[in-house]
Amino acid sequence: MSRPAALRRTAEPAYALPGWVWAPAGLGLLFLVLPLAAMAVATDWVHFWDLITSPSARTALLLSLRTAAWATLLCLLLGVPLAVVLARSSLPGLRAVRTLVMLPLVLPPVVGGLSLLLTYGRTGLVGRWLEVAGVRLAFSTAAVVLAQTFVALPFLVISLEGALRTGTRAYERVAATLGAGPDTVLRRITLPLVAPGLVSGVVLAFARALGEFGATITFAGSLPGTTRTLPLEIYLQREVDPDAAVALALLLVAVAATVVLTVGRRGFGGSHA
Amino acid sequence: MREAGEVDIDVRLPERHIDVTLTVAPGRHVTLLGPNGAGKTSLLAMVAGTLAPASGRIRVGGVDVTSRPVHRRRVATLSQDALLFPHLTVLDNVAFGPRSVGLGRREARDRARHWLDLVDAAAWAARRPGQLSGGQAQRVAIARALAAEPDVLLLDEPMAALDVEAAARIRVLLARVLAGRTALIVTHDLLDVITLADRAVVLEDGKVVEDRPARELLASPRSAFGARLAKMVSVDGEVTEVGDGVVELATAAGPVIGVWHDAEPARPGAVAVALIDPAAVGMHPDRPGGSPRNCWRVEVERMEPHGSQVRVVARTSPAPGAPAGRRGVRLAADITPAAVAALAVRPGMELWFVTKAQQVRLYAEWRTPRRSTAEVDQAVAEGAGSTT
Repeated sequence: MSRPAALRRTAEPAYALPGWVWAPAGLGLLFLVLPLAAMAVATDWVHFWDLITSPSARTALLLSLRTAAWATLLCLLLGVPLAVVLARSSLPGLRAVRTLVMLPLVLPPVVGGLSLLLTYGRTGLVGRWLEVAGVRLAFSTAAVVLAQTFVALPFLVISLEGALRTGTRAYERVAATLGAGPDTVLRRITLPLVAPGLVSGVVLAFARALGEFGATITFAGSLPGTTRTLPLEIYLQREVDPDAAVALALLLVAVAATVVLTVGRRGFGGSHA
Repeated sequence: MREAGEVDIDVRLPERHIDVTLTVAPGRHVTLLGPNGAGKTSLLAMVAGTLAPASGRIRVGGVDVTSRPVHRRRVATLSQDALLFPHLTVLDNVAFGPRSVGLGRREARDRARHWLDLVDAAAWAARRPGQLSGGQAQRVAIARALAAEPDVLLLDEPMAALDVEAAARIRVLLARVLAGRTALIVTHDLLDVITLADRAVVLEDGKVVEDRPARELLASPRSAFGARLAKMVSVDGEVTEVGDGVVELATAAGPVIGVWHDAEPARPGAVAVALIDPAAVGMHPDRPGGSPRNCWRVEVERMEPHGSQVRVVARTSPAPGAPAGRRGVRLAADITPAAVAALAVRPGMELWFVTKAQQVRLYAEWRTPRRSTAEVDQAVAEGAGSTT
């Protein structure tokens, strides 16, 4: 840690930090970190490299990264307009709509997968028409992307909507008085101002997509190379080769942590310097 | 430069008690004055298009813009907060307006440089708004508003958040750049009225209560707010006696005797306003002897600095026979600090305020509209001609 940072820390007395919060705070941190440590301890470090570079592991990892990237893109395309509408429009019943958007957050992913199957499956609500058109979604890589998008979208919307509600309106008003139409205001003022919220939303959505398991296995199944993503691979390997499962789990943690730390640092920092 | 636009306002918004008809001729600067909540900012918002009137219309440059969206009105606003876009450089902030109406990046930036030069802010072109002081930011905001080439400028207390020195510099700049432009200026500051406005409109509870040349308002305010702005005290009452040279009013402070200054002759029974300059009010610990014409027993409310003097604000006791619960009238006297110290003046103390009849100016009550907008503008023009 650099000296100025240390100085800054001591320069601000903790007015609102009663002594007792330290114990539960430390306990909370321990609760979150201990399982990671347990995983590191249990890992077969001698064969670690071989375990995570096995063909099935590589296939699963690449599929996971690819599908999570597509899902994140879909989240951006659908989530940004949705967040803008939720934060800015004054349609009646908007509260109910917001609740609906947040529903996948509290739904067990298995239920999400089941509902997707009932919608886009071969005999599903939409799926039967897709079937007529010759498109079969269920149990394909596209199904993985849909399952991940379904669970990740609310994260992006929540995070962006929160950013949109924190004081960008005055700037939008000024931009309009300077002659900027709604489209220009959104592109040149609103979105740049909420960039930190958008970045953190994208990171959250990507991380959620990368870790998605329940909806994927229900809606897309577990076909090696097509729908068997890294979390599914870990789950299956746990039965066959527990050492491989632990090594892959550690790999997933490493990938997620890398994304969150590199892309997310600016966004989570909060300020747009 | 674009031609300045005429602003024609005729709006009503019952939930905010607003009912205003007001025309601002091209190139004129009108200050909107009045107590907080009088509807000044709401009126600006209706012209800008961010607040819709319940009924009525707003015309800018002869075009009805009532149902036009904000970005198609050509009305720019400067507010207390400069609101520079934090993610853009100073140059791109100013170039934003030209870009929004379809200019290319280079052309827009060239134009922005021109406006930054004009407000002496060219040196900060590459900076971010976060690196500017409040006064510098407001300077850039002015350039940004002008670069959008508005027909009308709305100023909502643009100097209120600045320190005295920065405000003075911005005021000089505004006086320069507003020349030839139509502007509506909301302010609480006497200096803004003096330096920026040719016409002063006082709003009270959403209605126009005074609409006159700014100079005239400051010389003989009729509304309570106008008097306060001009640092005077106004007391209204009814004419009871028209004597030789002096006129007597019955007021809540008791009889007030002064000199009739209105063009219309005084008539017994007419409602009138007495304008008292606190500088001409004396203060005594006991009822003074001799024959001052106006003498009030008062209780000191507070004291405040007023130039090199101390302004003692005090309230008269309710006039005898006044309805129960009716409070007295607030008067003020400007006294030297030495005199205040000698008498050990403090809130709650009882004193006597006195002033000569010759020092009290009486006017007939202000009734709108006594003059049409055109007549006010005519008076503004004549006033401007006579002082230059």
